[in-house]
Amino acid sequence: MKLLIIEDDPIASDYLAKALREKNFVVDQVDDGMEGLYRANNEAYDALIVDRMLPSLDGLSIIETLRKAGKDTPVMIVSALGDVDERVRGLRAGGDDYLAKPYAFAELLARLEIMVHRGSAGAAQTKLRVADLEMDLLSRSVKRAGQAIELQPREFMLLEFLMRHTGQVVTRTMLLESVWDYHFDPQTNVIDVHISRLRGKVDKGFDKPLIQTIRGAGYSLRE
Amino acid sequence: MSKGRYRYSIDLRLSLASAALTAGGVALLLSFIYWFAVSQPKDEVAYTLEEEVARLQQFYDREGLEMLIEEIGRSAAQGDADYYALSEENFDVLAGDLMNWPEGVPADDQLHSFSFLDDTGGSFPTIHHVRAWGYVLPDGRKLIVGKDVTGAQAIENKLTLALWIAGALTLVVSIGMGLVLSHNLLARVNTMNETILQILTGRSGERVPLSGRDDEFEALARHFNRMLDEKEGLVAKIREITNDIAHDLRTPLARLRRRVESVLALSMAEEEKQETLERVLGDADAILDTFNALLKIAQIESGTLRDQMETVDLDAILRAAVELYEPLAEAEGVRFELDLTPEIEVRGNKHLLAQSITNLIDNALKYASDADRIEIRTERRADGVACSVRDFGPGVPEADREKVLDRYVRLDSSRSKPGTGLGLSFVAAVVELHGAKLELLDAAPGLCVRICFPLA
Repeated sequence: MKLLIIEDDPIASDYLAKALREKNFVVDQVDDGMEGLYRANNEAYDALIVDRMLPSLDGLSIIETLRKAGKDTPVMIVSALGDVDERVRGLRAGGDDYLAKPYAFAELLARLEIMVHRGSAGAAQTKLRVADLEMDLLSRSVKRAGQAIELQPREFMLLEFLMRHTGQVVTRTMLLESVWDYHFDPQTNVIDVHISRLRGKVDKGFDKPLIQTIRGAGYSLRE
Repeated sequence: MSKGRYRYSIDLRLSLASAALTAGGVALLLSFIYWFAVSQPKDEVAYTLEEEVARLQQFYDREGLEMLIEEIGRSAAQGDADYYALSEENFDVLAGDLMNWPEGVPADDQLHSFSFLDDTGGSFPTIHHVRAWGYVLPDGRKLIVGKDVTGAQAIENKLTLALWIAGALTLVVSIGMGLVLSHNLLARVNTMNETILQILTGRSGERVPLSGRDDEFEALARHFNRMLDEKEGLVAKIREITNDIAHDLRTPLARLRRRVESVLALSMAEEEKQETLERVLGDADAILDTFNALLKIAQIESGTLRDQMETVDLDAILRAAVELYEPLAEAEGVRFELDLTPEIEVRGNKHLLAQSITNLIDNALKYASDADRIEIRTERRADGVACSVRDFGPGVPEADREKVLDRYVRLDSSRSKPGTGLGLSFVAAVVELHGAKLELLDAAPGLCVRICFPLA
């Protein structure tokens, strides 16, 4: 996977690049907006990580220009401006995800993985399936090993998100965002208790535990 | 007020403008009066004369000289005009009521004026002014018709004089009044200006004095005072915030520093180092969280988010929050009881409201987990919509209810639990942003936190 980081803070850039290289990404670093736009336009990257405040050309403008030129490379926007409204602005400009600084590397990594692999699983699917766990999106029902599982609406949405990102790391923040549209941290471990309950219904008494805890990051649904 | 400093001031401009306008209006009026009382009648006289001359001239054309002379005699007695005369070419009068052709009046088919002295009747000789029209007949004889305008002339003279006097008086009075009025106006403005300047350059506690009159200047003064109050409020708030930040960040920062120092100074096993550094990360995160929360509250309080409001379904927000906390509550043996009025909408920011509600629920769970339920209710009231979160725990003593809204207070009994203590102050800031009221009520047992939203 080849990534381009457009970030003018050298410490942040170096640290991020190093951490990503350790995860086997090929990483290019650029510290100027115009140069970043040039590179992104003329070379093939699997994803871009773009800071908003850059010299010569700001992050949002870079994205808008790329989109107008027909480039749909996934872009992760990183910014000290963490408000919901700024996030909306960033996504409207064409960004695929938005992370407020400072962020945990684990969070960025999880979102990066999901962002890069987006689009392969079509949204038009009506059924999701992992091992012997089946979810029917039309009838809003879940079965495992042929047995029906009763889920409350939010539990269903949580499981759906996990299943749509099978094998990928899903952070608590992501779950709050996608299932509740909350863009703040409730400070307590509410999500953990939800997952615990979900496990009780989906994993307990069955063959293999599918919902796994990824230490320091979040959860993942995988065989 | 020195005239020099305000040479082009509103004072002078206002009075000049007012004088000009008044003068203009009055001039118009006077012109009309002149036209109506003087010009018009003059024109009528000319018209009459012209008509008479034309009549006589036609008569002569039809009937001849003898009949004309007779007609003139008749007209002199009963005609529309006052004086009639027919003369030979050499101006010797043949007929009519004029003895002699008036001196200096040519018969040129135009309007002329002449005067004569009449000493025939009464004790004093009187002057008569006549407007006359002279005409030359084809055979050289001359015709003249005149109208006595003595009276009219006298009126005209008097009127013209009166109009000029009126005009002059008006000008003087209007300038004078203009000066007086604008001076009056300006005096108030100048007093306000001076007071405001004083306040801005140092005496910040003072306010613009109110005169008690109920007019625009009073409103201006009141609004200005309000702005000054707000400004002082903001200044105090900034001071408060910086103090809070200093206070609450110093402790965890010091702790973080100690931990880093220990890793550097002490000989630790790898595992212990790892653990310490993880704690350091935790400290840093806690500091950042506090900082962000403070910043957010400051942002909310400064009103910058006031223009991002929309119509929000309160029902949905409450249900979503309850669904988030439900498993946690259940694990602690607490259930939610919802008493929600359907279709309640308020005008607000859905993200801030969502966070506020979760704060309240979080608090209720934290401080009242011994109880078995939390009640969440919405209701319509006369003055708007009320939303309350009520727990059945120990409650908050009355004396402390004001304090809990302050940034950092967490009542002693709860120091063991995690959290920044900013929860309620966040809610307070959001409530104020929405123009709503926050109430902490003794539910006996428990605490009821109620938000009263105004009518949308």
